[in-house]
Amino acid sequence: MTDAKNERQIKISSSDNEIILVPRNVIRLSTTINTLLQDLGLDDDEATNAEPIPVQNVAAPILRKVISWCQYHYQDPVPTDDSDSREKRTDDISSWDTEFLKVDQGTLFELILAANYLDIKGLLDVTCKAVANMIKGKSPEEIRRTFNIKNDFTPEEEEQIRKENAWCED
Amino acid sequence: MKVYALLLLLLFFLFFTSIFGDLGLKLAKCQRKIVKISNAKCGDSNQCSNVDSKFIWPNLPTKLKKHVVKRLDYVSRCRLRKCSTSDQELVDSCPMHWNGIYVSLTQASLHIRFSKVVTMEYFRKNNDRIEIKFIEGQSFCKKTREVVDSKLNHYNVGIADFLLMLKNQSTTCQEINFQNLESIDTEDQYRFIQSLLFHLSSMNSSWKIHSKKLYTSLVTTSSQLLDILSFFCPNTLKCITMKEYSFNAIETKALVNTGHWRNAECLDLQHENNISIAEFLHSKTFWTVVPKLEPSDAWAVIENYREKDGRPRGSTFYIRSISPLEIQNILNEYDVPVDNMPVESPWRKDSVLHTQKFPIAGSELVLVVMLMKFEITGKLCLLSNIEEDCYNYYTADPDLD
Repeated sequence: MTDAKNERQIKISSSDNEIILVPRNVIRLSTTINTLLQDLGLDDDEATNAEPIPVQNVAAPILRKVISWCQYHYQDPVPTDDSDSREKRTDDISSWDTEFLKVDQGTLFELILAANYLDIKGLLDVTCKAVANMIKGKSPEEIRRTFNIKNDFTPEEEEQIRKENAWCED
Repeated sequence: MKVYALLLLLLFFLFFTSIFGDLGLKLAKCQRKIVKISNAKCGDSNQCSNVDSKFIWPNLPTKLKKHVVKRLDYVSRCRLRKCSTSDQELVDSCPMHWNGIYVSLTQASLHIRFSKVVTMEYFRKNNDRIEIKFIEGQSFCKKTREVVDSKLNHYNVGIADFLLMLKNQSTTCQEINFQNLESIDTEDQYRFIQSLLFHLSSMNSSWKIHSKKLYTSLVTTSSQLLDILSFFCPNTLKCITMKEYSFNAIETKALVNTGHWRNAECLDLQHENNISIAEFLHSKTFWTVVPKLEPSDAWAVIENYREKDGRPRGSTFYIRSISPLEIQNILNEYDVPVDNMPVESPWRKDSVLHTQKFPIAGSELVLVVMLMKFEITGKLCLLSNIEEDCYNYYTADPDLD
């Protein structure tokens, strides 16, 4: 990882009005901000943007965490398109990301929302893998408990759903 | 007056302090913290505070939940599907891409295997009982579940689960395979096919199976086979392999007129049939068994495979004739000097009576044709790689991609 310290800084502001300075090359991972900078002609300017770019849907603690992820990964190869329906691996999360994702469930879901809003493919991928890993190997009842899911099947529906794929019941 | 003036002053004071005090508070609040991110390290901010309880799985947008489901194996999807109505809808809206689904019959059970490590076995038991074994990984992971329902039989339960795997119309499959794992009663096979057709008919009228290959070795009537075929998408199905069937003239006509047959790139009929050789010539690869192969038909196939800019490397034909081939009459049809040049192949050397190489004009390919007592086979090989191509090639399961 090269030092991004001396590069041009971009000012962004969180939903709770905290302004954060991020190196241009780091924030490039966010397609949303990248496109905005290009569309507003701010990419040609050498100086830091005077008005911060508002990231309205992301609060400062999450935004800082997102940026720390970008800071570590900004030199990674561009992730390939995953639009097909093939099953993706979830056992290939790097040790750094594993440490990074040792957060409570609410934070993990906030990171997913932020990655989606900022359009950071790699972060969305790794956070979704982490959630998938929380589902794998669990029975339906264990999944319900893990994710606060309310069983809202009617008794008739419940009977039907128990018959379907009965092999994977608890 | 002095009192009034004092009161007025007090009021003004209170008014201004309330306004500017509030404004000051607001301004203070607006004074945003500026944080410069430079060398964040792993773990610096892993524990975020103020986590809002609204950020839970049920509240996550469907689009993002789909990103998660896409990363789940089928077993995990099935378990998530049983959690709530919204999760059921979520999982059902996410297509799968199957490498192969293998449905096999034994005397007492129906097996569904969909990866190297996952098999479901549905057993017929006494007293309205069905036993379902779920085998994931090694045999010690085997789980058994008993279902008691007098209305169901083990075929119905297994087929319903099989169709759930294909319910989403964007789900694709490389291969669907119906076979016997051991010799079982023909009656049982018919009963299974009837159950399968009953369930297929209950699907949405526009629903189709999007599989590239269909293999069936179950004993069926030709009409049942045609009915099963009709539930496959003719634009997706590229390879059809059938054993244990017999078609009369009307059914043969119906079969070769289906979109499935017309679009197929690989046709493999392993049972004697009366389908004209000409009906196979649109495919890249075909295998068939005929009562008697006429020399003119054999030559027509060779000519067809020699067409310039025709089939790709690896394309093959194999015709087995119940009556012995008229070898000399076939050789008489050749439009090039007859030249027997044997090559290594999976066929027994002494069984190959004649090998001829037909170069393809303007191409790096050569058609290698072998004549045996009852069989004729040909394969398009790369001129510079004939030996290897000949050896690797004789399979009815070419890479269709």
